[in-house]
Amino acid sequence: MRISLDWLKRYVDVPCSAQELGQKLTMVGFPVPSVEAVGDDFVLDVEVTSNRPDLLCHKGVAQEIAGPIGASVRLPEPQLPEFPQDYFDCRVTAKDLCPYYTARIIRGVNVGPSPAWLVRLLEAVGQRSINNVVDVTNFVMLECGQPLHAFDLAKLHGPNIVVRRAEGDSMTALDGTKLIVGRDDLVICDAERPVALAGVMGGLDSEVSASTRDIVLESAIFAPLAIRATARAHQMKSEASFRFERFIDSNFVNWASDRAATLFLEACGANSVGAIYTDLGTPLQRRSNAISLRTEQVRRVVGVEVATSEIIAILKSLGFRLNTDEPIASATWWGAPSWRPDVTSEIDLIEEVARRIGFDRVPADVRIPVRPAVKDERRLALRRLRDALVHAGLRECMTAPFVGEGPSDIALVRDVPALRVENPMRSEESLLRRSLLGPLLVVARGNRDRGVPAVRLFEIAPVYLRGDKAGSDEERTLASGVVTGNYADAKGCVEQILEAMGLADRATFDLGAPAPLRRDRSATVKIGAEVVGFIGELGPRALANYGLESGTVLFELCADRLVEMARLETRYRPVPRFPAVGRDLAWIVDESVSWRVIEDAVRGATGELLADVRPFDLYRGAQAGPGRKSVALRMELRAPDRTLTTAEADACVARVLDALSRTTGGRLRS
Amino acid sequence: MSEAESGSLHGEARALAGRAQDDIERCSDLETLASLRSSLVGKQGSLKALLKRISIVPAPDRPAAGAEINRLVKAVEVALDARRTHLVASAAEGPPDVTFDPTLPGTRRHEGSLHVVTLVLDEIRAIFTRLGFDEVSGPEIEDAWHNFDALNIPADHPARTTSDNFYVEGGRLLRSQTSTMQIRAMESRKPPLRVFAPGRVYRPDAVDARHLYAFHQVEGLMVGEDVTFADLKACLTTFAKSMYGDDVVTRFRPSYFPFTEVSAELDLQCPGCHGRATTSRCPVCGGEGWMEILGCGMVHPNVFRHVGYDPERYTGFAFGMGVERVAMRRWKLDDVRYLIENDVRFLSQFR
Repeated sequence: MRISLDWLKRYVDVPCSAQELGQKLTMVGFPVPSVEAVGDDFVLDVEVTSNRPDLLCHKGVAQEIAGPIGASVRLPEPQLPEFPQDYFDCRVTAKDLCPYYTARIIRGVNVGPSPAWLVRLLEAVGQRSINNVVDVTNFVMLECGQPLHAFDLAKLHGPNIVVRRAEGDSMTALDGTKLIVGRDDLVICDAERPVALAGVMGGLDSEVSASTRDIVLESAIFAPLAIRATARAHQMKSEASFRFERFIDSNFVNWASDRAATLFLEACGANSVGAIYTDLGTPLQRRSNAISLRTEQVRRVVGVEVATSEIIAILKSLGFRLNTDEPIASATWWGAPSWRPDVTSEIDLIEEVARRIGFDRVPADVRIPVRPAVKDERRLALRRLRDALVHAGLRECMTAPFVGEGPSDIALVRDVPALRVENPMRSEESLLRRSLLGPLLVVARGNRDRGVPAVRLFEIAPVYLRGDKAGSDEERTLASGVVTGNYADAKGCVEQILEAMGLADRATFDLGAPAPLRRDRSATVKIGAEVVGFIGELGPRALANYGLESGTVLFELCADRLVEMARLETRYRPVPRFPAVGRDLAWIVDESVSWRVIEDAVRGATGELLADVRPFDLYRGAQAGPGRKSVALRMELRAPDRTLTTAEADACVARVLDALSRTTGGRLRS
Repeated sequence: MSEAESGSLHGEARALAGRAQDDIERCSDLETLASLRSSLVGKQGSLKALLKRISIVPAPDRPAAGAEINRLVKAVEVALDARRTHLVASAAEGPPDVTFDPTLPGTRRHEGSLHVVTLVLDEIRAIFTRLGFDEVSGPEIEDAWHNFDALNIPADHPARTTSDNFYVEGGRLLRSQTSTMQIRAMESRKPPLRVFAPGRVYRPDAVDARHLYAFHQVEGLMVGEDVTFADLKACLTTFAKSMYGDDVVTRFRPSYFPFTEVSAELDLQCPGCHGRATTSRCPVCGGEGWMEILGCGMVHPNVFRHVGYDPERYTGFAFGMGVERVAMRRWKLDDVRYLIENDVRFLSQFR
């Protein structure tokens, strides 16, 4: 809200500079980010919070700052001379949307330029001067917050105005927009057609123009929600709709009409003003006159003692009425002024007192009792998971949770339908993701396009799964990654995670995973019998969809489950005291025999003597034969209580060879 | 140098010893060193030969000159021994590696990193954990009760419209604020309590240099039998000092939120202009002199009623802050979109 200092001074003496005034407004709750010099005047850009629509005018700001600057407010008292009876009938049929409507006739205006003082004030606050009649209505709105509208009487057909719901009428607004208005819109009509979109904008047909002599002045209250809906539906916002949507002080509807009438007489050459006409009574303010304020409550909330006498002085300076003849020390009862719809209960009064005494008066050095934050195993586990990914050399990403229908809507963890967003920003963001992989692939592609072809990325975030019935939707936190490289690169990351979570010894990797991973180059990760995720290369079609080349490997793990199953405590084992004996062998088997089978056979044959076994070479070629591979492996053999003898190690290897030939059907490579 | 001195015996000795030191330093093999030794300090060596001519020095100066020459002989012998030790050692190491370049970059493993938002969240977490707040969380898809009703946001409030929220099928919505977790925490715990709740929130704002439609907030809540605005100030001032440094200047300024009353905004005095810039544009704060860092206030009695806490018995304060804003301020980022582009060239700068 732009507030002119000169304008403000019409209602209150300002004993300080515009900058100081801005400071004071800021510190009572209404920041002033800029103070601008406009000619000899200063304009303050006041940020008005949504609970204080009364500050959308100069009168309101004057009332707000009068206390802090030690001044009192004086409002003009419009005095109209007696005129012969003259009125324009108006009827409201949609009373739910229009609780109060007034019209009055003003005759004999000379439409022309506004007087200099009016132009100067309006232009200071950014309101273009149009003509003296329109300027007066704008001036009164910016003075007291009541929007007004002037119709050219000669352009209204029939004997009266009707305020009704529209019925598919068409009209042209002042700004030239052609509108079709319907049941949800409130319109002001003459005998033939809508002449204004109520509370939003007047009609072009009834506009005040240079030839206008007599006008009908409207001052009314419209239902905020209806005005908001109409303004939004027709994408037509105005200073008037902005105020009607928020709040109209019913005590000032007639005042504004009178005020404008006096200005029409003074500044527009009007020679006759009719009485205010309405078919509705002034709406009653249903506002409590007895909001109690216990003095002790102020201390209980704010933390400092404020004397009852000080409370009384503060609230009175804001226009509150004390409804206690003899205030008792412990409590007072208050009526809020008509422009403060936000104040209805004790806490509202406490806030008024708090912001007026100033927050600086509240100490910031009170002692807060020590309390230990609880140890949270789940969060520790999640942090362990995250750190494992960083240690594995992956960089954390954060992507938006929306995907479109089609290839980006991946579902790995569970193939249930995606949740639809009712009002997506873009159609390709109409679903909530069921996997983090789609967005991560987009990130990989983006980096490649920016000249970074190899990436190692991860994200930990929830995905959303639609439930069978309302309210049974599910959120699951996943940990997913995309790695440029081969399967082993991605699996290494997963192994590091599982080790960090204390789950590596229970994990298995079974061939195959759901699309878009390649069935033949992927694995399902299980802890015990439970599926917790997938690793795999992307199939050619998916690669093409994302514009990526082969050598892109993905993994997705259910972080929630890993966290629940995690065993974070390190279980110490004594460091071995005796040396290990290393033995290598190469075993030729069918391609279908997995390392897992070979490893199990070695473990079974060596028992507790096996310290470690791992493959160190894979050979395919003439010596292995077609459809076969040679797996070279190294065993570390060790006994816990002695140095293993050569004979013992040899016996061990013999048992391994025996087990391998039984379980794999292969042979030793010589 | 005077003529008398240049002709003196120990002058000659000094010159000889000086040249000898250079020769020794240049000598690169043991054989040459051995012949150098005998030619200098051997029985027939040039330095030794000088001693034989000591008689030419006048008698009173003779002892001093003799001592001086002996000292020079000793020094040359020390230098010869040191050079010999050095040559023996290098002979054992073999010839020097002329291919070695110490300035080539070292080899490294893949480097991982946390997202900027995570780094900031971890800092905030650490501070509130020290202040005795428990971390809690809640679902991202929320119902209107937790996102609005319980937070004292009336049914006809504009904040509920589709222009301010992402609604999903079934009538629920992606939470638009982490304040939802205040409600969830109070529904599941009995006072007194201290909790904080980081999380991502969603609002359909057009993405630009200052806005994202998915961003992070941290919410906090402390409730007890005698928690006042003074506790709020103490707690959040401590937070600001921990986060931004002990010398920061803060101010609490009245504001408005539906779910708190008394409501306030915590501002940080601009470190660039110390709050002075009102007319000239300070590049750090844009001329306002102060920067908003969080919104806070005393929990509204209606919120307590909604979760079944007695407002006559309990008071409390709540606060909420935007995490991306903190990150932007911390690293002077001029565009919030860096935080969602996931450009590796950006991500790799933070650790």
